[in-house]
Amino acid sequence: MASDTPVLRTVGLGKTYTDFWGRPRLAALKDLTLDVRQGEVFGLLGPNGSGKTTTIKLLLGLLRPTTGDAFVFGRDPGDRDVKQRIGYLPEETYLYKFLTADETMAFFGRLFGLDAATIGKRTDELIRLVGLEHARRRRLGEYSKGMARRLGLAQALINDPDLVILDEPTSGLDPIGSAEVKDLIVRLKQAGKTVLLCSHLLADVEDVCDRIAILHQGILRELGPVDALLRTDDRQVVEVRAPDEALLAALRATAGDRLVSIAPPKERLESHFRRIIAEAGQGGR
Amino acid sequence: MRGFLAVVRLGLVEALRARLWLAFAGAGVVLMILGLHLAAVDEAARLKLAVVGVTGAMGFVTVLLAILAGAQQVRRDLDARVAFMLFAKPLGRLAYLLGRWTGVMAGLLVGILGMAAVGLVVMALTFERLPQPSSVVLPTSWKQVSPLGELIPIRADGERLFLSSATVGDGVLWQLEGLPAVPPEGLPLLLKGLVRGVDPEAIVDECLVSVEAAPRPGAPSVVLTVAADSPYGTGAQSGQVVLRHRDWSRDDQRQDYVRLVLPPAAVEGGVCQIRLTRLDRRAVVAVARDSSLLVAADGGGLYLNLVRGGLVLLAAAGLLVGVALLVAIVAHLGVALLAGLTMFFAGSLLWTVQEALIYERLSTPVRRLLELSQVLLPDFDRYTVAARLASGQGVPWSVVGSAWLTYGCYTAVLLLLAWLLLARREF
Repeated sequence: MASDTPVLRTVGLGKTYTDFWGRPRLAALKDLTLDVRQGEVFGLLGPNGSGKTTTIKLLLGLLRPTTGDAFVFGRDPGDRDVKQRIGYLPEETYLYKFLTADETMAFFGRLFGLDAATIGKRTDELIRLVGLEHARRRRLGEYSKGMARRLGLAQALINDPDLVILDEPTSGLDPIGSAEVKDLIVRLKQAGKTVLLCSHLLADVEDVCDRIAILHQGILRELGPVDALLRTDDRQVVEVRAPDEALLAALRATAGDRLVSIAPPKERLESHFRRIIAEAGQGGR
Repeated sequence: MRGFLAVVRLGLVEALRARLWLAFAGAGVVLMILGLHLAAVDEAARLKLAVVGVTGAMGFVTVLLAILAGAQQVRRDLDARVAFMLFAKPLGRLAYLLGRWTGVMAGLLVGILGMAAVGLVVMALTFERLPQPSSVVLPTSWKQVSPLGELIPIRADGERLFLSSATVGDGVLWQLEGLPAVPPEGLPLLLKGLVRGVDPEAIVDECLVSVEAAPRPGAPSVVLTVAADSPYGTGAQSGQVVLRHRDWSRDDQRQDYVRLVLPPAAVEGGVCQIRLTRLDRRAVVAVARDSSLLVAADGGGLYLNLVRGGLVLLAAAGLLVGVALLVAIVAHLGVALLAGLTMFFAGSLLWTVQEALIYERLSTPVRRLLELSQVLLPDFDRYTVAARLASGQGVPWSVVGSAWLTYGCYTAVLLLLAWLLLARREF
């Protein structure tokens, strides 16, 4: 359950990129004020160039704000104790190609000061979680983009973080992988973790987020709970099981002019795809 | 600290897996083997060339790898945005920078140890006897001795002394301190001098001298004899030594020095006085303060000295890694490589700057600029490891310490600047 304690807070946060001479070149983020509460899955939405990644970099202390302030766990984002509690998956997976998956996990584990036993245990769990057991001793130079993405996700969780920042986590993953990531986000939420999910795939966000913020041209356009933002109070959807022509005619007659549509519900493509793949697997490939 | 160690370990793994290292190690081995097959007038000269080849190859590979690995590792982290991932973790930028530097240095150290071992094996297979570098003890003070036996102080800045009185019996008295324990068979005492005729027209290239040693002033002295393995010096009466002309540039301990035997009776508490007396009125003898007389004690085996020489090279390489890291933070890989190489060549050619300042007529701004470069640039010719080992001298720990102190100061400044730049950088 989400609590009212803010894990992330920005107050009038802004970032303007400058050129070599210090002249303003691009205002990537303007006056962003928002809170992300403990235990919630918060979605940061927006088209390309809307300021999502800039916001994340500011929250990680990788950029210095031009205006305003950012706080993570109530402290400066550059604080090393703060970073100790964050797991981060960037938009693209930047890893050392000469390391294997196990070595990559060990390297990032060491950066967090984890001992060898903990690193080994967490690596086993996470490698299994992201489905890379078969490739854990292969160098990353031989990995596909999707495999590298999965490993990127695993490394983001090596320190069992309280706050997980995921920038386009499903990028480069197949539909099964995307669904697994969404399942994982739900599990993280159930475990009391706070998740900041940054994506332009709206369906992903809609499925897992409690609240969302929509950015456009560096400005916060909308902020609130997903259900509240998407609900349309002037319409209702009625679903009935085994409809026959008489029932449908009765409905049309009752609704009269106010009827918008009567049509069979469609299965979502993602669930349809997962079902087909699962059935193929059970049927013996 | 934890982040630092993780980055050091990463650097080592990267160094060992990069094919570039293998290529350079292979090039080093080829260079050493080629060095062993260079033609020379005799076996001693070939051995000398071999030692120069091994140490030269070590230096060449170390310098190139230092610049290449230092620049490449940091630049790749920045270009491939791996640094983006790293600094999102609790890894300080100073820890990262020091970790990268230490990782490269650790990789270079492994390479140096390996190349020294390969060089030793190749030389052992090629030559019957390996050179045994010596640990040198130089005189702490010296005085001129007149033909009447009076002791005449020499100016503190005097570097050379000419024995040229009209009557024989003049000479020089050296004081040696800090000598090691003398074994029963004695310590090798090495002596050389520049010899020419009193008459400039006469061709004279040797002079009879006597050499005596006493543990302290007034104590009975011992006349020193020429050792059986001395390259020259015998052929005169008992108690006399034939000193042959050797100019200042010749300093091969195996070929250019008369080898005398310093017996235990001549040393007390590590102190000894050596008196050289000129016995030939036709010849003028000139001796240098720092190179004409020395005691050559056991300096450890060849491998140990190659490794110590390698550590001196490593100290210089550390500076170059610092340059490469610094420039790689703000510029592209090519620029960083060029900066490292430029620093190396500039620091290796400071002697030309010195010569230009002495011999050339320069305008004041150019003179000031050259003087400034002498102060600011590190001198990579300061510790001539290859020449030292080739001449039979060992590389003592004091030289290693001095090199690390000298180059370490530059390295510390470079790393500090690199840290300031990296700390300001946004990702």
